[in-house]
Amino acid sequence: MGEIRSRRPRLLTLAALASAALAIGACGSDSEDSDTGAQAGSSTTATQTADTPKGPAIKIGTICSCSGAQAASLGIADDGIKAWAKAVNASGGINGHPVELIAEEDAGDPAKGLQAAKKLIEEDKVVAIVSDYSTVDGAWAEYVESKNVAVIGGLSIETPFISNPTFFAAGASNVIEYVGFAKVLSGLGKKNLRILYCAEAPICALAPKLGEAAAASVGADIKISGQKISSTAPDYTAQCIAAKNAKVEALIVGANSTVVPRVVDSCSKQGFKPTVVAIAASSSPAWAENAGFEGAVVVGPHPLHTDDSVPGIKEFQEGFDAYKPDGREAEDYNSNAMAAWTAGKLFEAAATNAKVGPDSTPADVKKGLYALKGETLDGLTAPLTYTEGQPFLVPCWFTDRIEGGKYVPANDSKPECADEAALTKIGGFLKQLG
Amino acid sequence: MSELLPFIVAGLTTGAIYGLAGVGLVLTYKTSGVFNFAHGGIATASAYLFYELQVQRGMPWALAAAITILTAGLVLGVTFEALARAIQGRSLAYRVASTVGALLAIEATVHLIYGITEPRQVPQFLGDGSVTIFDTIVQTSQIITFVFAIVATAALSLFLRHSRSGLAMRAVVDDPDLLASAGTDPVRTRRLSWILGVTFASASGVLFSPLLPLDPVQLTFLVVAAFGAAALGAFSSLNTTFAGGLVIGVLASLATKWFPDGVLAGVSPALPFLVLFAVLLVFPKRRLVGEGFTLPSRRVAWTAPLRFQAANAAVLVAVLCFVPTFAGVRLTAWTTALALSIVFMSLWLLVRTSGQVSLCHVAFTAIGVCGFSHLTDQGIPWLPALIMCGLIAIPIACVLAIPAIRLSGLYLALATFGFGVLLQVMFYTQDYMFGSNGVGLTMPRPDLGFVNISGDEGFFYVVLIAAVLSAAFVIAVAEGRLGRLLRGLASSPLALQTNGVDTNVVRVLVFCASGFLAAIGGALAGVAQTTVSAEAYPPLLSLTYFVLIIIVGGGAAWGGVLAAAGLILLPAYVDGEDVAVWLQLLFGLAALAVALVPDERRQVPPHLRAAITRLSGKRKAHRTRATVPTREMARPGSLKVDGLGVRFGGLVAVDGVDIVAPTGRITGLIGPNGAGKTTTFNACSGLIRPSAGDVQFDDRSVSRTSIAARARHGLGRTFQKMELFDALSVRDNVAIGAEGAYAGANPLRHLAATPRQSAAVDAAVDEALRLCELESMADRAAADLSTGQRRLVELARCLAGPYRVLLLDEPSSGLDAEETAKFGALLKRVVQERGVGVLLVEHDMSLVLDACEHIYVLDFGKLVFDGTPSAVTESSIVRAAYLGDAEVQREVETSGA
Repeated sequence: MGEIRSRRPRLLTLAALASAALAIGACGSDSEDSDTGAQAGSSTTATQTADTPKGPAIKIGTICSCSGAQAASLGIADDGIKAWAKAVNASGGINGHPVELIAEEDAGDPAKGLQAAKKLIEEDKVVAIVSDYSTVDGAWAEYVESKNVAVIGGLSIETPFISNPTFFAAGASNVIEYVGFAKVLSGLGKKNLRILYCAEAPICALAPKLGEAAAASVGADIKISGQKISSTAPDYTAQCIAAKNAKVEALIVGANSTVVPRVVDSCSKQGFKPTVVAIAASSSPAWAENAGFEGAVVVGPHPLHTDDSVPGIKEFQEGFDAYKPDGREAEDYNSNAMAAWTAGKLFEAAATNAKVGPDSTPADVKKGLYALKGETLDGLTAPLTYTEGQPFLVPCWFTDRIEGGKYVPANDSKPECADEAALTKIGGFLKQLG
Repeated sequence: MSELLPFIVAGLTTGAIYGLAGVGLVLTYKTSGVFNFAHGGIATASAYLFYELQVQRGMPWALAAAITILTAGLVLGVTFEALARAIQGRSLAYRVASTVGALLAIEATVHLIYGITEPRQVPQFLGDGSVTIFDTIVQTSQIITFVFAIVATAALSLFLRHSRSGLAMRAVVDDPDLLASAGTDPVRTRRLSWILGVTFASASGVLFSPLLPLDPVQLTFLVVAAFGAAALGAFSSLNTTFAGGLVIGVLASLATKWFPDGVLAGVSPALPFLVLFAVLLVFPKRRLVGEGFTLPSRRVAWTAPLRFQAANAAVLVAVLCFVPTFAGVRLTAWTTALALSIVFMSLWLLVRTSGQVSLCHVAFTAIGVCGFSHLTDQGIPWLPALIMCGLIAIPIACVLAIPAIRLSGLYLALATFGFGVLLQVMFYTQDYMFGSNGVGLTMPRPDLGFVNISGDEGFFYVVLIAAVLSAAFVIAVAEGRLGRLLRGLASSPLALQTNGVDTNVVRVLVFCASGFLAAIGGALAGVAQTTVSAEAYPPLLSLTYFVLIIIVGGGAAWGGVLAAAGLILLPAYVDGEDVAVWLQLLFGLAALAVALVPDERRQVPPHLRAAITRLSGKRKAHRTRATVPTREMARPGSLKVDGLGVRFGGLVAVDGVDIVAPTGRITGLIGPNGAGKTTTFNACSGLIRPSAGDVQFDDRSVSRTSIAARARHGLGRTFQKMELFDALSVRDNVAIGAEGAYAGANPLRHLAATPRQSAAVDAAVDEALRLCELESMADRAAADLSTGQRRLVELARCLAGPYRVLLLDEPSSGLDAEETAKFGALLKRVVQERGVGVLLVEHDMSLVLDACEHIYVLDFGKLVFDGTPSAVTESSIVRAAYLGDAEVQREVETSGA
C-alpha cells in the first residue's frame, strides 16, 4: 500500500478540521481551564523501572489537550503514551537507551500549546513530539515545522496531519473516515443520513457538506441532511422527532462522547432507533451496553482496541495493563489510549531504524520515519510510508460494529482503503467548499 | 398541533426547571437585594452532591435527593444569607463581585474534587416509563418533573400569601425596620427566604442532573437560563417568573423545529439570554425593582503621587525591556499578558473609575481579534486594521450602554452578561466572527521591513509600546476632566446631573472608550498567539476578568498590569495540571474577601500613604490665586413655579403652588415636615415630573428639560440628604460644579478641558473655597468631613458653578449657631456681589428671617402664605401651619377653597 499525498492540502485541511471537531467534540463545553484563560503546562517524565537501561535518555515530548474541553474524550491519551514509554523502557529502551517522555498539557488553549511546543524544543531539546493530542496544534504547527522537529502520531483527524509535512500521521484522517461512512452505509442500504452537528464550534457546520462530498466520492446514493445541536441542551427530543419525521435511517452525532448517548437515549424514548454512525475518536466502550447503539457503525484509524488477535493490540493491552491495572475498565477509557500508544510504537520503529540515541537530532528521527515502508506496527494501523517534504494522507480506515451488546471488528481488523478515483472526487467536492 | 406537541412537552419539562430555579432566584433577590450570580453554582454543587450520594454511595434516589436539597438549602442558604447581610451597604460592583466570586469558587472546588476527565452521569431516577398523549410519547420522568415544579411553586406562593412567616418575608421587602419594630426579626426572615430560595436552586440542580453528564460549566449555564425567567417576572413576581420559565422552555424547544439552520439555529440555546436582554432594553423602568439597591461607592480614592508612579513605571518598563533575554519559551506569555493588561485597563476605567459593571469584556476581545483578522485578510495594513478593530467595538459598546442609560446598576451587569453569552451562542459561528471554515483566525504580525518586529521578540516590544501608550491614555483620562466626571458618576450620578453633566453621555463615552481599548488589547493578544479560535473566548471568562479587576489595586495602569500578570504570567511559571483551577478558586475567594471589606475601609493604610508621599518628595502644592477675578454679575432672570402639582399615586404632595425666585434676592420656602418643600425643589430641578403646572426659567418653560440642561441654564441646587462625591477631594467636588457646565451635552467636551477652561475652573474653585472657608481642607476627601463641613462643600460646589438661581435645601442643617450666622452672611454677600438668586428651604427660622427678603409658606402641599419676613412672623396662618392651631387651620382651608 503506497502513500497517497494530498493534492489540495488547504481544502483537505478545511475538511479535516470540520470532521475533527465533530469527532472529538470541539462541540463540547467550555472548560474550567479555558474559563480562567490561564496557562498551565505540566511536565512529567515517564517512570523509570529497574529494567530501564542506564545512561542518558532519548528525550521526546508529547502535547495533549487532556484537561481542556475535550477531557472526557482525550484525557486517556496521556495514559496511552505514558504506558508505551514505561513499556519500552521496561523492555530495554530504544537502541539500548532509556526514553524520557516529557508531557505537556495545553488545555485546548492555542497560547499554551505554542508555549508547550517551544518549551519542548528549546528548553528540553526533545528529538520528536510523539502523540500529538493537542486540539490546537494548528497554533504551533508552523513553529515546529520551522524547527524541523517531527510530530509523530496522535489525533490523526487534526489538520496538520494532512497539511504539514513535519506531521507524521499514524492513521486515517477524518476525511477518509467519512469516505468510510459512506461506503459502509451504502453497503447496509441506508439512504437517509442526518448529521447533528455541534453549535459551539464553527467548523461543525461543515459536516453535512463533507458528508455529501464523501458519499459522492464513492458513488453512494445517500441523502444527507444536517441540524445544529447544543451540547448543553438538556434534551434532544425535538431533534429526534424531526429526524424521525424525515424518515432518517442513520444518524451521526457530531459532538463529544458524552453527548452522543444522550441524543440516542432521547431518540429511543421517541421510538426512533436509527443506525448510529460514529468515528472511533469520539466513541466510548460504554455505548455497547446501551440498546440504542445496537447496530452502530464505528470507523477509525486503527483496528478495534479490544481485538487481541492482532499482535500489536495484544502488546498494547499488556503494556497498558502494566502501566494502569484495571485502566481499561475505567469509564474514561476509550480508543484514544491505543492511538496514543501507536504513536509511541511509530516513533520506536523510526528511532530503531535510524539508530537514534541521546545525542541524535530531530533530523535523525525524520530519517528513520522516511525509511519506513508499508509499516503497520504489527497490525495497529494501515500501512505507512512517508515521503520527505510532503504531507501524508493515510487513505485507509478500520470499521467496527456494535452487535449483541459488544463491539466487534469488521473485516477481520483489516483496513479498507479509498481508491485513487474516490480521492480525486472528494478533492473536487472539497474545492467547491472553498 | 400534533406536530408541535412533542416540542411543547419537551419544552415544558426544561421550562419547569428553569422556572423553579428562577423562583428561588427572585425570592432571594426580592428579600435581600442581592442578586445571586452563584445561583447556578448552588445547583451545580447540589447536582454533584446528589451524584455522590446516589451513584457513588448507592443511596436510594429519594433519600439522596432529600439529603441534597435539605443540606444545600440549610447550609448554603444560611451561608448566603450571612454573605448577603455582610455585603449590605457595599457598592454595586463589590456586591456583584461577591456572588460572582462565590460562583467561581464553587465551580473550581467541584472541578478539583471530581475532575473533568471522567464522565459522570446520573441515571434517570424518575422512572423509564412513558405514556402516549395525542400520539406523542411522554416520559413519566417529564411528567413528574413538571408536576413537582408546579406544586413546589404553588406551595411557595401559598406559603408567602397565607403564613405568618410568608407575610413577614413580603413585608421585609418593603420596610425591614417597620418589621423589626413589629417584633419580627428581619434577619431571621431573610434567612428563611434564602433557605427557601437556595432549596429551589438545589432542587433544579438535582432535576437537571440526569439530563446531561455532570459538568460545572454546563450546569451553571442551564441554571443561568433562569435569569431570563426572572426577567420576565420583572425580578419580582414569583408566579410570573415560573410562567416565564415555561415560556422560555417551550419557545426554546419550538425554536429547534422552526430554526434548524443558519444564524437562527442559535436562537434555541440563546433564548433565555435574548429574553433577558430584550426585557432589560424595553421593559418599563418602573416595572423593574431594585434600583434602590444601587449604592454609590463611598470608597475614598487615593492615588500615589504622580512622581512616585512615574518612577515605578520607569523601573517596570526598564525591567520589561529585558524580558526577551530571560523569558525563553514564555515570551509569548509575557506578550499576551502585556496585551491583556490593556484589556484590564479598559475594564478598570469602566468598573473601578466609573462604577459601572461589565460582565462581557471577553466579548470585546473576541470582537477585536475577529475584526483585526478579517480586516487584514482584506488587505488593510496592520496598524490601521488594529485601530479599526477597536472602532468596530465602539457601536457595540454603544448598544451595551443602553441598559446602562436606562437602568444602570445590577441590570447593566445582567445585560452585559447576557450579551456575552448571546454573542457566543449566536454569532461566534458566523463568517464575520470566527468563521465557518474552521481553520481558526490568522493573526498576522506587523512587518516594517527595516526592523524585525514580526518575530516573538520584536513583537513583544511592539506590544510593550502599545501597553505604555494605553497606560498613558488611561492615566490622562483618569487625571483629566473625563476622569473627574467618571469618578463623580461612581459617587453620585444625581449630583453630576444637577451640576449640568449629561450622565448618559458619560456612560456612553466610558463604554465606548473601554470597548475600543479592550478590542485593541484583545487583538494584540491574539496576534501574540498568531492563531486564535472561538474556544479561547468563553463568556464565563468575563467573570474572571471582572473579579480580577475588583481584587487588584493601584489605579488603572498598575491594576491592569497586575490583573494580567495574575491571569497569564502566574500559571505560565507554575507547573501543574490544575494550576488554572486553583487560580480560579483563589480569584473567587479573593473577590469574596475583598467584597466583604466595607468600601470606606478598602483603601491604602494611612501610614503607607504617608511613607509613599514622603518618598515622593513634596507634592506640588496647588497654587491658589492671591486675587480671584471678580465674577460678572449674573444675568437677571427668575425661576417661576406656576400652579405646580405633584402626585405620588393617590397622594397629592404638591397642589397648585406658585413661587417666584428672582435673581438678586433670597427667597425663603418654609413649612413643616412633609409640606412638600423638597418635592417642589425636585420638580424645579427635574428630578420628578409634575402632574400639573409648569416650571419656568427666564420666562421659558423648562418642564420638559432634563436635569442637566436645567442646571446648564443656571439652576443650581444642594440636597437635604447631601449628594456629595464622597470618593473625591473637596477641590474636585467643587471643581465639578464649575466643570459640569463646560462638559455639557457635547461628548467631545467631556474628554478634556482647554487650558482656558482649566484656568477658569481653577479660579472658580479657588473663589468658592475661599467664600466657604474651605481652603484648608481642599485636598481632603469629602467623605472624611463633618456634616457641617460637607454642607459647606455642597454650597461651594454650587457657588463654583455658573448658576443664577440656587435651590438650597436645608443648608444650615448640621451647622452650629455661629456657623449658621456666618452662612447667612455668606448668602447675602453672594447675592449682593454676584446678583444670583437663592430659593432657600430652611427650618432655622432665624436664618430665614434674617436672610430672606420674601418667604413662601407651604403646608400639606399647598401654598398657605407668602410675604415679607415680618408679615410671615405675624401671620396666624403660618403659626397654624407650624403649631397646628385648629381654628386658624379652618381659616386656611376656607381661604384655600
